[in-house]
Amino acid sequence: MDPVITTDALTMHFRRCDALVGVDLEIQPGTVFALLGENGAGKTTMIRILTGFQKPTSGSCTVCGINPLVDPQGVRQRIGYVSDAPALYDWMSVAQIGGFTASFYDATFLPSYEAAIRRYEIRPDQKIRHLSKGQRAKVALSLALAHDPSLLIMDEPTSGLDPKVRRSFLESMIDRAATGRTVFLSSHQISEVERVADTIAILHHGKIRLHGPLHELRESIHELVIDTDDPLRAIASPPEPAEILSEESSGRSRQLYVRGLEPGMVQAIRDTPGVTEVRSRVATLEEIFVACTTDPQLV
Amino acid sequence: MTIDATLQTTATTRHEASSTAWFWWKETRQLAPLVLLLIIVALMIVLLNIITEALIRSAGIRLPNEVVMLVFPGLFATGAGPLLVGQERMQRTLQWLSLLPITAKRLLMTKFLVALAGLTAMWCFAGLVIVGFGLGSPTESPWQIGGRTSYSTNPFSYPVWIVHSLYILLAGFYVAWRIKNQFYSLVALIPLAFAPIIMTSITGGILDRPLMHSELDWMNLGFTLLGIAVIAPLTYWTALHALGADAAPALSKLGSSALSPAQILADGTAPKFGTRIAPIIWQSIHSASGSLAILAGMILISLFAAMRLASIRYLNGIDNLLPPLLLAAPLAICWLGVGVFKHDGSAERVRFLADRGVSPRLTYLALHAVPLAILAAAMILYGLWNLAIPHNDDHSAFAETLPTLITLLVFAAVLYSVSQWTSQFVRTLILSVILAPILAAIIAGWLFFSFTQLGFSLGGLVICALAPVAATFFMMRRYMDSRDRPLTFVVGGLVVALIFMLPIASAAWRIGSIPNMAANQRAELLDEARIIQRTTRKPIGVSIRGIEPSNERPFDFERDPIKDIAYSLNGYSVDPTEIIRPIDADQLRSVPPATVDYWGLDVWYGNFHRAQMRWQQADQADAFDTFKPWLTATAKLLVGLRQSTQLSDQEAADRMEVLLIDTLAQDQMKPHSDDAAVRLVNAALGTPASRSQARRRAVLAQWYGKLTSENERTNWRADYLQHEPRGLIAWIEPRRYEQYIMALLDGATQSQHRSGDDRWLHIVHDFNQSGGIFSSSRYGQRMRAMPAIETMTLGQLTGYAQLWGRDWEFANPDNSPTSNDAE
Repeated sequence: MDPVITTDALTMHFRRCDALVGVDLEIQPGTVFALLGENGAGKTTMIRILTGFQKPTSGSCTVCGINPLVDPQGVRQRIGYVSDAPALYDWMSVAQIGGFTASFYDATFLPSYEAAIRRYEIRPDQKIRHLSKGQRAKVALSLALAHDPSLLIMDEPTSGLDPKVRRSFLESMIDRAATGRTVFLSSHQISEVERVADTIAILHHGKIRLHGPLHELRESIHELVIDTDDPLRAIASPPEPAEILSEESSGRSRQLYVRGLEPGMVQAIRDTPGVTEVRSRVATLEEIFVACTTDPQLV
Repeated sequence: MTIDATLQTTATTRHEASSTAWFWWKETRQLAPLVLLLIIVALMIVLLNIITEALIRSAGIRLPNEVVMLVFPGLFATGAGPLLVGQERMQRTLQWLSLLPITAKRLLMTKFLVALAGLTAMWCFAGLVIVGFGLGSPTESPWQIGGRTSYSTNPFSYPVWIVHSLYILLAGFYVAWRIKNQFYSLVALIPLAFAPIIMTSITGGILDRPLMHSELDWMNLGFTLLGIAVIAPLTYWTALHALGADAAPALSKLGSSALSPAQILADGTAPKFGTRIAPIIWQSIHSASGSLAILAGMILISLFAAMRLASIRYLNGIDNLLPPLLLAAPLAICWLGVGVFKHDGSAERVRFLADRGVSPRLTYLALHAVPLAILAAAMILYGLWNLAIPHNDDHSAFAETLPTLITLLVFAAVLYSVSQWTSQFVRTLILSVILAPILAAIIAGWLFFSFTQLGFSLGGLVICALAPVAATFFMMRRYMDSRDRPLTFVVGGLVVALIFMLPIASAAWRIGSIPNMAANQRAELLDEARIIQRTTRKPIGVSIRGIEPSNERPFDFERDPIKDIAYSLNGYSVDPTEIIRPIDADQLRSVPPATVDYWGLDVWYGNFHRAQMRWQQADQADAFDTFKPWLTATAKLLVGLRQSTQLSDQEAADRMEVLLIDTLAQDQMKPHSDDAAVRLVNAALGTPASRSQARRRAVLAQWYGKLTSENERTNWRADYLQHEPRGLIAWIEPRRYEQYIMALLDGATQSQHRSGDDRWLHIVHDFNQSGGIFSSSRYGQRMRAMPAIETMTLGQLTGYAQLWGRDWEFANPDNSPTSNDAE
């Protein structure tokens, strides 16, 4: 099956920073993909490139098989997009913006939009400018979902939503993926991502630090805590194919997050002179995220 | 209405509508505020027009409605592009719109077509108003774009206006697509909008000869059409480019797009401030440094244009562009005001300061600091330059008319004050930028009119100028907390009411302070006047022939001097008996009312004295007989004049009496005291009471005549009205006239009793000789103490009642008649 989104060495330089550096991604249809990253990691830039609003410095990408730089309209017709701060016409009423948007889609749009508005308990005659931040987010979501797009791209979609709506929304994302549609969401809400995402990528300083199915990543990354008899004792790192994502020392204890850790490696460390105890466990997604987004020099 | 019901309504009413209809609806709705504001402003101008016309009653300044109708479509064209495109780009709704399945071509074309339809509607409306109200002429156009401001017999100007507005519309869209910053795009639109006119001026300069109006029209049309041909495709491609993906920043030669180390250091170093106000000033400079530089530049451009204009005597070629450049400064002042509550002064940004407990007063002062500093610097520059140049017409007509620093300061204060208020009142930048200069110009024009035409005081002017500043200061706390609405509308209404009502109230107070008759007094006097009018016979005109007034004899280089001498001599050979023949009667009581031309008194006086001197110088015993006809005729004329109900005739009668009393008092007359002619004179002389009664009748009759006949021209003088505000003359005149009538009636009574109360004299003096000093005037005691015969004017009436109540009225000539049997 062809991937819904592909990026090939996508690079974006701004005057003050490198937003994306050689990003290679493939997102399969029928998945909920979460792009994780701290603030300023380059998530929004990537979404802007995917939706055809921004040209990259170099590299290429396709969305639904279309190059967004060549045919941004083609991409936008197939996707639903909710930005982190949706700019809606605040002088329109909720019903009016629905009617206006529906006029550009088929007849199923309006009933779907109205159903969503009804579900969110928003009065249709209310002006957008009088809506709360959360209500605006709900209207934006309703507009993005009403035409049932094959790909839904969302930038921090749940900010402003109350917990009840957030839960309901996240469950609906899983349902969408189950019907073969794809959801691309950028977030730093680890708990939410953990709940809904099939695949994740962690972006740090414009680079993809980690990319893969969530369950595989979670199983492949371990927290390793090594206690020694002397704080200055040198301990050899686990050998290849293990990859140390982050490392931190505190007194006689050293904490590592390791990808591809095998039981034999743990035993080898345990047998190292001066090592008093070795503990290992599967890392949580939050721990993985922190490990991937922590610069070594800051440790 | 429930949610379901509302949705049902939406579904049935909106679902069927096509996307084009929805798109047009959205764009039209976005243009609505601009149209609404322009309509409000147009109505304000029309209202002001009505007010000013009502105030000054068909005289004075009149705002041209036609030019309003011609200019407003252009203003719409100016604002449409920035509003439909610039605002959407700034608010990022265009990005949301781009997400919908709309092609870029459809998007840009829909926006332009909606604006074009709006412009067409504006022109239809303007055309209907111009034709419907007869504001213009189908064959003439008084307002041309560029060139000279004068009447053109070529009706071609109208199409030029229309085509030019289309060009501005396209240019507005071009700058809005090209430049993301709304303010910069509007600034860029100014030179672009005037480009065809600039080209016409340059062409005129190259041709080096004055251009006919029709030539100007053709050139303007040609360059405008050329402009359209150039700007239309440019707009299209720029829009397509803007709707596409943003380009990646270019890489430097080193392969990196990083900032310079100095820039990084400057941006990365936290600034330190010594005072609490400094950081806000620093912020207001940095948030709009480009805008401030542009505005300062516009002021300097105007100043340079003024310098050039003050150094040349005639405008030729490219110099024709200098007067329009003068407008850059007031525009910049307005935009400086707009900038106060935009950029980092906007409600969203000052919230940052409000959240940190910065006081509204401090914020307010800081936001105004930079614009006021620029204004102050501009004023100092202007003041110094104005001091350094000669102000005379020989040097430059422009230099002669340059306003003083104070005038300019007040003007600038009004523009700035109104604009900063508009900026706080209207949240949308683009609407503020368009609306503020219009509102400021209207209010400045109104205050200028009030000051010059309604006699509005300088203090009042300052209050009105500062009212918008006070309003924004008052609203500052709420504005910072984003809770200024709806109170801001109330305050705004109060400010507008103050600015428009204070001058009117001041004018009303000024008018009301003039005492006029009480209603019952007026009714009584009117009844009395009606009776006088009904019972008095119409006076018979007595023509005193003699030397005609010089102004009735056209100056002739080739006239015969001998004839002139003969003519002059004829002037002193009039026959008094012949002159009074129309009123002559055997007995004085039979003499009918008479009226004379006042200038004829001079002739009568001269001839009377000539006859008197001839008698006194003659040796013959019967020489007195040659003088007697003058005595007899003067007595009869006096009696006739006293019966007249015209004030000028009463004045003439006063002079006749003074003349006769003076004559009777002479020693040469004593031997003739029993002569019938002398007795006739004595009988003709009035008493203080009879004179008072005659004067009262004349005053009331004249007042009644003025009230009942619009066309009747009374002879009373109204010089003092020249010192009254021109716009109030129509209101002041009736009250002043009543005040004057009351003073004259009072004077008639006071004169009878020889009262020392001279208040009525002051009023009559003010009325007739406004601006003069009372004590040294003909109404002052010094002049009144002198003999009337020496001080009375003849041939020219310099004011009524100058002879009333003076000594001559109470004189008793030595040769007074022993009996009245002469009658």
